[in-house]
Amino acid sequence: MDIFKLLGFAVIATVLIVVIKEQRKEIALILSVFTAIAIIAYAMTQMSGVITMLESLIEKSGISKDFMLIIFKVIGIAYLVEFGKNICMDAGQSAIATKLEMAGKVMIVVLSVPLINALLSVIAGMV
Amino acid sequence: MDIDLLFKIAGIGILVAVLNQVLSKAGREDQAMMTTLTGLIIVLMLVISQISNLFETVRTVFKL
Repeated sequence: MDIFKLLGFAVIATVLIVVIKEQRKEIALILSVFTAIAIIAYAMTQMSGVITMLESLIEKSGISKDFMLIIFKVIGIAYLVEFGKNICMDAGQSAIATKLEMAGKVMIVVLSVPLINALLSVIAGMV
Repeated sequence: MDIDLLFKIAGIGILVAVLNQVLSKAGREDQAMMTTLTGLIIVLMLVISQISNLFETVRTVFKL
């Protein structure tokens, strides 16, 4: 993870955004969106190695595969919602940001319904 | 992490800003508006391809 490249990229982008912000706000916004995308794409390529390691670990531990898939999906949704929320906040649209966040939470709850059922059945079994 | 795309977008932004100033000073408000829109569209085209492959990466990594 070459932190210097990342840092340089972010600082240069911020300077360029400040330069363009007075005249053309919309292009400054697109520039900040592009910087966020580039940095996340770079981080995401490192992430796939971690994910495969986690998968093998979870398989060894005996937790059933579909729970693990739900966990990864929830992480992905949370990550993307955070990404979109920050972009909307930057553009000053906090209303859209909060709605996006709420929708993300709803999707996560919907995804975790089978997990909740499994948990309840385990508890019921113990009683 | 391609820095040249960053400079390309910034260049277009500055170019559009300057063109806008020149055109508005010359009294051609409508053409100034047109250059702003074209600059915006070009920048959007550049960024959309980046957005799509980011979402594709996230989809494969998190199995969404």
